[in-house]
Amino acid sequence: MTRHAILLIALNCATSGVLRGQEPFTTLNIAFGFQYDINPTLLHKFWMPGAGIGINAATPVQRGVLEFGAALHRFNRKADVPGFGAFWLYAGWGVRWQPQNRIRLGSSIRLGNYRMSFDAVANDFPGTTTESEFITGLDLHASFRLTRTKSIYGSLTTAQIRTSPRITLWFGSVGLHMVLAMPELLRKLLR
Amino acid sequence: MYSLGASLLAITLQVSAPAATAGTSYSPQVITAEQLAQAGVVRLGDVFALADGWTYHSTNGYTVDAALIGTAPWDVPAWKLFVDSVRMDLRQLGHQDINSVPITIPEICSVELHSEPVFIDGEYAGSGAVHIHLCTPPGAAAKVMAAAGSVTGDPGPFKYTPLGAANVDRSGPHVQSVLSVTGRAWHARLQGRIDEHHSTDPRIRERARTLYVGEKDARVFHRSVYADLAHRQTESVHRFYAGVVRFEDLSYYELMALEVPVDHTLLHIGAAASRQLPRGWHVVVQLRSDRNILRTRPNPRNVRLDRRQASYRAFARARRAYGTREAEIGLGGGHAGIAGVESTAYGRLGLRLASRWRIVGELQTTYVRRALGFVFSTALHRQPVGRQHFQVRFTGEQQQIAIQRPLWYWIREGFDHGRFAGSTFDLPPAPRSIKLHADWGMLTASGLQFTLAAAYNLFWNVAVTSHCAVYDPSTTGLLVDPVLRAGRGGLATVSARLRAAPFGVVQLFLHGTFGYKHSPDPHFIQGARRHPNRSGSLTARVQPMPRMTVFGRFSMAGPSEWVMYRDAALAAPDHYASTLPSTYVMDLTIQKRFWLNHVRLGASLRNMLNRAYPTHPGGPVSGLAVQFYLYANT
Repeated sequence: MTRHAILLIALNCATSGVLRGQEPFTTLNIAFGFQYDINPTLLHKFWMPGAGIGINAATPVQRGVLEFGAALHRFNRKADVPGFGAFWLYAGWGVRWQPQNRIRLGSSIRLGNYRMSFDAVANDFPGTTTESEFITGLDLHASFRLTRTKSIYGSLTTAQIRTSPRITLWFGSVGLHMVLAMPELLRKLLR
Repeated sequence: MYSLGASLLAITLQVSAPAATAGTSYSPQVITAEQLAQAGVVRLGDVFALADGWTYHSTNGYTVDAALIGTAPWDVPAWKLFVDSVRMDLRQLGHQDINSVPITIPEICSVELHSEPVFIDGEYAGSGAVHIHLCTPPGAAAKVMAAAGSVTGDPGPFKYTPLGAANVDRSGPHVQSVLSVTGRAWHARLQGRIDEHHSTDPRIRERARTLYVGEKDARVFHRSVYADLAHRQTESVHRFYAGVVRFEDLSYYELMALEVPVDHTLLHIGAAASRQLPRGWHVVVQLRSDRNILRTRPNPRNVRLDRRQASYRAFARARRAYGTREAEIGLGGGHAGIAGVESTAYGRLGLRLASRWRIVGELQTTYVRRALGFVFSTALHRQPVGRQHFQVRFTGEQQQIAIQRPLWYWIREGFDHGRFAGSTFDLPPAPRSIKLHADWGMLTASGLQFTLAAAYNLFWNVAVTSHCAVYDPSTTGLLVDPVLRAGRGGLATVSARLRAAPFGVVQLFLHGTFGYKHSPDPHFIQGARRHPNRSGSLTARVQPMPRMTVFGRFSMAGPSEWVMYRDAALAAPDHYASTLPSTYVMDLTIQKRFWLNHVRLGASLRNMLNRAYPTHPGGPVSGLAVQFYLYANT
């Protein structure tokens, strides 16, 4: 996955020229929407994915885009195991380009933490009922501009949770994307 | 029964002036606060990952046993720790963990790592020293640091399924905070730290469960508070400090090879004052007390390790400069914990020879329980010529007479009381050593800095402490018998360090240390093999954009052999090893500063090559670890 991420980002950079220097922290791009796990893996033998929600905040930096985001996922029990809710917190870097006036494409790589909180009570499943693990992710998204500041977007995200065995999840997302002027206080803070 | 008499004799001839030559000299290695932050250091033990020529191991990923390559390997925690020139005694049952210092990372200005025998403000450190200098920010200041991390490879949700694999450690959360106020002539500071480390690997978990009672798994839980107050005037400085550290839940004791549930408290209280007197005299007075209280929690096997140990010391020095000469005398006394009541006299004389050479002599006598010993030191230093620096140091040392060391001394070293009491050992009469250290460095006009150092340590009649261990399947621990033998042999090291800045935004540091041992005594060689005899590192610091740094370090350590674990490794290879292969570790930290320099956000990838390696023969295998951290200051 790391190789794919590097290849994709390199391709982006080569074709779009988006890594030219730019004024940092000028805008704040907020996206929020629904996510759904779409790939069958070993995990799905024991758990059934439910709908998730995610939020992402991105801002341009000197080269590319810096982003922070979070998502909530739910996995319901299928076998004799406890169900769990998961909280994904990440930071990422990516590139954006605009091939057409209303269409914007982008990709990013993400590093973060995936915290899983299990439903089990201690008597049924002894030990800690939470687990946190490192997660890497890669996101491809496209948005269509509706108004000057609002767009709808769809994205395909793959994430690898570094458990043993590893969990690879693919999420499809749809939602709303907004472009805001960076608040002056936040801009000063980021600078 | 062993008598309580002891003597100490050390003769040191050193050719150095560390303070003046720290820039290009090999020792001390100075790690600044900025380097600590950029490298993502959140625990004091992480400092050793940046130290050149030091080696360390850990059973649980938290407690760090460090040693300098080329020093006495059977005496692992022989290095000494100083905070603002005052020593802190951390030793307990054969361990000395730097994480038990009640100091927070954001308040550290710099860390000096001495790899040569050195006197620090009248106190002799013959096997290396770590000297922490604290900051004094102007005005009112507040600092907070928070971090959390995880070793990858946890089973995650699969722990509830038949697919569940081995669990691994979890680090954090760590929270450190500092409040300080600095006025025109005074400074007050309060700092605290809370830290957790979960050792959940089955190797540790199974052992810990034999003694630990509780619903959740045992973990290392650290809390500490440290306060100090200083008053400064033109001619005088007064400083008071007090700190308390509390460890709970889990502590590994090598003689039992078990994680013992403990409540461990360390108390540090002290004061220091200095004053400029007429006629060029400068007087320094230090008082310190270190208490170490270990309580064992109730456990199914009724293992008791309860210990109380205290050391306190008062020391006064007076220094005077006479043109190109300087003289210093000191008197001290106190209770050195295990060794008993001791009295110390110290003297130092510095003299400039010709235009570029300077000689320094130091003499220290120690009277411990009716036995007189002394330390004599002579230093000769060549002043830097242009951008070159050169120093050479010779140390001769005669330590305490091992057979006269009290029983408590060996207990503190980690030798089990019951087993030791019934044993007899052929202890050496008078351990001696000679240490030679040479150091040359140069700085070119282009900014390239190169340093070369060599050391040779020769030992006679040293007490080589080792153990014979048999695997105990009922606890997955070991049944250990201590062995003490007299040993002799030599250890030599050669080290080189190169620093370059080939581009404006890139800095490179290259380091290598190679050690060699020789002895007719196989026990000496076996003891020396416990630590790698070679290490190397390549460190790169890149600044791709303003206020953003990428800090990468590739380090390598040679193989080591733990003879103690040989039988256990044959009986239970899943739990113990006797040889640890060479390790190659690459760490990467990305840090971005926000709001000028008030906020730093960072992520560290430890062992990002994800090459599994054991950190200790009885500890877990380490894999890729991730840590996120936040620094905030006013």
